[in-house]
Amino acid sequence: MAESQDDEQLAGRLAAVTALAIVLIVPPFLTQFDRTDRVLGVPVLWAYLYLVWAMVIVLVAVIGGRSR
Amino acid sequence: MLRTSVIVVVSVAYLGLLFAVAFYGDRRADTGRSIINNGTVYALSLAVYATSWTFYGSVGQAATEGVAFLPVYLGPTLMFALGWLVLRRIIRISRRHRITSLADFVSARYGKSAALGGLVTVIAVIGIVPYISLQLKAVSDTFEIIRRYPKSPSTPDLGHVPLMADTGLYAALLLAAFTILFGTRHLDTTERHEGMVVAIAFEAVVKLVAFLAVGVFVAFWMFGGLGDLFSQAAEINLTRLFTLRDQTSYGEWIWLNLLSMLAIVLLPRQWQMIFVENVDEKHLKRAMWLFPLYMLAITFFVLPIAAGGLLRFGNSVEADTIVLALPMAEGQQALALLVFIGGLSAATGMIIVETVALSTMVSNSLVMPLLLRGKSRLTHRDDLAGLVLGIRRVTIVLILLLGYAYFRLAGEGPALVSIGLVSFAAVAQFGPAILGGLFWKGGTRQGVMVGLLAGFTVWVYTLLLPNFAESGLLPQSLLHEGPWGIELLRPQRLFGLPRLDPMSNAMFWSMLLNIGGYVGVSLAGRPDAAVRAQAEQFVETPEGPGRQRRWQVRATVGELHTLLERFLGKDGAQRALGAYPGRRPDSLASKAAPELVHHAEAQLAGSVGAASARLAVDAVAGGEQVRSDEVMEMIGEASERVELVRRRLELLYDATGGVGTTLDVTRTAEELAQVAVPRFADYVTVDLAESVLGGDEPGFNGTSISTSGGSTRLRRVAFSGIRDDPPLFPVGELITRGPHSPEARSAESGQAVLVPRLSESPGWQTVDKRRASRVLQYGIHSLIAAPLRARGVLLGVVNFWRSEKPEPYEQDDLSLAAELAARAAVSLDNARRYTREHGMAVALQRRLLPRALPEQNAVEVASRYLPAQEGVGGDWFDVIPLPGARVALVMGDVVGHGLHAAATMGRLRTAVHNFSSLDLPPDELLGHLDELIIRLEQDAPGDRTAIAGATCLYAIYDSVTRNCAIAKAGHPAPALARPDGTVEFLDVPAGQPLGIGGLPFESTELQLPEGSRLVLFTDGLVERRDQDIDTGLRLLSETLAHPEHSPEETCEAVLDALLPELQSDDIALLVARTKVLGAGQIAEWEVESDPAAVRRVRAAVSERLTEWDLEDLVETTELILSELTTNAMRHGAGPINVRLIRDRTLICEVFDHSSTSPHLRYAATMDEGGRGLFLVAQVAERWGTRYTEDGKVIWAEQTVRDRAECSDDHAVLN
Repeated sequence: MAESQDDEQLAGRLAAVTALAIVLIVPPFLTQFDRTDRVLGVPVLWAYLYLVWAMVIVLVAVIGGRSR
Repeated sequence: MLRTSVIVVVSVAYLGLLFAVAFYGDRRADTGRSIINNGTVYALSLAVYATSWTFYGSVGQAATEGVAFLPVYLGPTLMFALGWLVLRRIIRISRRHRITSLADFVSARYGKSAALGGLVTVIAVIGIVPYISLQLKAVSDTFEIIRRYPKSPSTPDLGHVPLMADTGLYAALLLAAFTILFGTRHLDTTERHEGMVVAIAFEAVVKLVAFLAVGVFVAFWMFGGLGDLFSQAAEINLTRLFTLRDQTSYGEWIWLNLLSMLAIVLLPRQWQMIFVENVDEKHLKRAMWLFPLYMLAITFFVLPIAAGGLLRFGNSVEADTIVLALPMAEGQQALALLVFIGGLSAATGMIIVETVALSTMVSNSLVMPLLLRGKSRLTHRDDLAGLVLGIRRVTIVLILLLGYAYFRLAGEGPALVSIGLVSFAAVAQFGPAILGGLFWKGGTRQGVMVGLLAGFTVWVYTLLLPNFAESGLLPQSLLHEGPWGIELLRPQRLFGLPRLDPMSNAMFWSMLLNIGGYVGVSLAGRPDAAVRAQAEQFVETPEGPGRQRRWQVRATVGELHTLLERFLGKDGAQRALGAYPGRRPDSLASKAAPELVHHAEAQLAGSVGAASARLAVDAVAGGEQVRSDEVMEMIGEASERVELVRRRLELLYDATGGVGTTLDVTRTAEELAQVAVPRFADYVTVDLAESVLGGDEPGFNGTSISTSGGSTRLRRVAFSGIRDDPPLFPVGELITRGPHSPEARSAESGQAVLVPRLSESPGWQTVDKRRASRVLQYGIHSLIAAPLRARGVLLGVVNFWRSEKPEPYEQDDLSLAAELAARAAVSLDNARRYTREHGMAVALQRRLLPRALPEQNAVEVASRYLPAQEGVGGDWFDVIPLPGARVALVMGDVVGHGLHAAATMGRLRTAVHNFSSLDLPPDELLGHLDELIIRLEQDAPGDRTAIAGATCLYAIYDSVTRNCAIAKAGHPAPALARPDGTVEFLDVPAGQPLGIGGLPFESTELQLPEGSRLVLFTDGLVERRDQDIDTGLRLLSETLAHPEHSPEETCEAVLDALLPELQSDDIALLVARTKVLGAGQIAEWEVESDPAAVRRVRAAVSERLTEWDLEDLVETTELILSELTTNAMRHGAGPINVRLIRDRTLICEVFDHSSTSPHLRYAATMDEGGRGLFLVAQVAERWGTRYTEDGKVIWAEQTVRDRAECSDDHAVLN
């Protein structure tokens, strides 16, 4: 029983991360960064997407790692 | 200079290394020290997703479309974040059901359908072959490029490689060998390939290292870091690569993300790696972030390399080859070779896993079911394992050759990316069936079939055909003008939807039809038992071991063993049986337990797929083996039975609450009829003995249910049904049934009687043959007749009919029907008893109340009495004419309801009548009444039903003097509505309720103007639970403020205004409009105490009577008056008054000031006096005495005859 509760919590948190990621990589957020400028020498959109991507990976790793 | 031979040697050496790694992995597995039992290896093996498309194609795409290459990798990241929710679920289900491929999963989910498995396999093969050919093309092309080093590669000459010199062919053959060696080494129940997984994980590292090396080289060697690279790119106007909006629509961006989310699960090689090769679901936790991280790493330098390539070459080099061309152009031999090996690695990894997965699908879901169909001799062959492996090996070779052929025919055209996406779109078609099947139980086999076929067809039309067209296999005009020139049907612009790029167009239409077909057809149909059972297992949380039992198996242990041996080989069979957790069977000849059979089937399912395993076990376990769908049917039936019992309990529960909400017999019968429809019966009829409706017990009054000879006579009281028009007896009909009818038998025996098939019941048909045949024609086929029996009394019979539900009633239904009838019967009996009691009380009260008010001229009255809905009460009223043109108005209320209240009321009313005949003033009358009640209570000490108290109001109105005397005992004050429209509640001393004793009552006297309305009522009129009494009184006084209303109209108006919806107390209302006797109807004289005065009065009286046309009464009146005045003079005290009133009667009154009471004496013959009153009594109709404050009145009434009568008399006399 305890296991399935933990499971549910884990699944719920990961689903929330997924939702967040989806929101970040589709318009309108995406449109905000869809520009030709560069930041620190690299294209804004490219940097933004990789940043979001890395953030999702870190979040999943942290959340997954914290549950036994 | 790179010699071709060097390249070949390095390539072959690399593949050899791969062989060695795989071999090592297998060896470790065999010795039980698995190296793939590790989350990192698992995550790396998933990197088979990154093929040569990633390695070369993504750079190519980035060079033209910039950032738009990313969705293919972002989508999987999203799906893996959802891994714990979706992927782990599939892992668990696959493990539990021994599912070894995508096709197997779909087939198992939808009732182990072989047809579905086959369809999925076909779609997968057709969808994936271009993808495989893409890998071969990449190997072949890059080999050609690197072979010509340092010559800069240019596209055109790549297409003209002779067949025998084409590396693609050799690569294909080599890979086939590898795959056969490590992918089909032996037939294993888990279908795992450890060596292959290790090799793939190794490859993943190789291609990552190679790609990162190029990336670093380009970014930091060729250019001064990323910043420098991008700023140079910006300078030559490559900023288009930095954005999306110039290259790609956001719609396409979203579609591609979605597509990749599906593809990461549904590509056969990914399915194989994620689910089949998974050793422990815990590994998923690491893969959830490690695999996305791998993809992030391998794609990190894609855009920089693309930008670098464009800066270095402009558009002179084909974009797809930039990765390889850059190190070559810079003269980095070793790096170029490393890149080639990396690309080769990506391609081979994909090809190996994909072919293994496809070959498993083809053999398990396509070929074996076909071979095993019809229980062919095949099942009795000894070495089936060899056959299965053979099929797989052949499949592997065929698929690779097919891929190569496609590459040779069509491979020259489109870029790598577009071919890959076409495959993605193909496998995405499995999405609705699989993801839907995980979370939705309603999907049916037909729904999946239709959805898949529709989606696949659209895919072929909108993606595959255009791909052919671009490769030159089909005319280009197909794309631009549509087939037969119909523009609406252009594959890439289907029906001309605006602003859809080709991929969005294809995905929109295929998903629309796929999901629409799946959901629509599923909803239209109903999953059969097999699909339902599987749905239950797939959708419910997949925890704990699966339970699936086959019933009625007749296989021996030996037979099962032989079967396993045929498929798995000797060792495999031994292992499979050894894994059985239950008790070991004693001997090979003993009967196999169902669990063992299931275990064997599950083991087999791992090797040959669920559908094939079932067919094989069925075939071998003997001819009379229960077919699989029948088994599912059985399981379904069992769960249906549980459901049935639950529903019955629910019905009984509802019946307890729903039947008997009122105390009305008919209503209760109707409730019984309604509660059972449609859950238990399609029609219900209730027949009751006639006497029950009146509240009597059947058998009472000779209205027995059973007549002599055993037939029954019942009246139909209630009907309920799913339709209103069955030809059953209508409600109200009196039905006589013969002794053999089910109803009569149930009445006779007291037991419910079951008639499963009405058509076979002659007893039922004899009741009414014509009607019976119409009922049968109507479709009513089955009946239960249950007796309605309560407290030992049979009240009637309830019939449950069935027509829509095809199955007849069974023995099980009988007890439910009997229980239902028994419960309803108690309610019916309660209602019957109440009806009887209520009827009696109402009858009693009606008898006790005045039926018609007596005629009198003093007031004009109207009255109402409304018994309470819950029973009779103790309210009463009366109008009593009093002598002297007066009238007494009575209103009373005995506390409480019911028979006792009514009976007490009757007694009090009689008492009031008696007291009024004594002509007592109101206060005295109430005093007597009070005493009476106290005495009555003393008679019955301790009787619970003794009078709890009563209130009363008594008023006397004198129509001559307009005087009204009122006294009350705890009763509500009457209202007086004067003719001028004013209304007041009379201020009469309240007095205590009757039966308490103590203080005397007081009368109030007042003068009423003519036409006043005196309104007497009981508290039921103005008091209610939901309303303040003042509100009631205010409403009443408002209603009375209409002087023009007659008493009758006043009653109507008052009840309209004040009658509550739910009347909880009874209501009595009496309205009296006062009249005044005209001056011409009264004559009055004062008589001195002198005998001469008597004579004078006699003369005056005679004169007045003549005036009144009452000559015939002159003599008697004179007699009466002279006797009474003489008496008054003799016994009483002066002065004496004489009064004549001409009303309905002629009233003579003599008033004197003494209060001695006159006595009627029978004078002795010789007495001189004492004859006066005797004479008066003889002559007058009535006579009497009443006392006033200062004396007494002796009165006598004579009837006034009509003029006509008088003249008749005269005629006779003359």
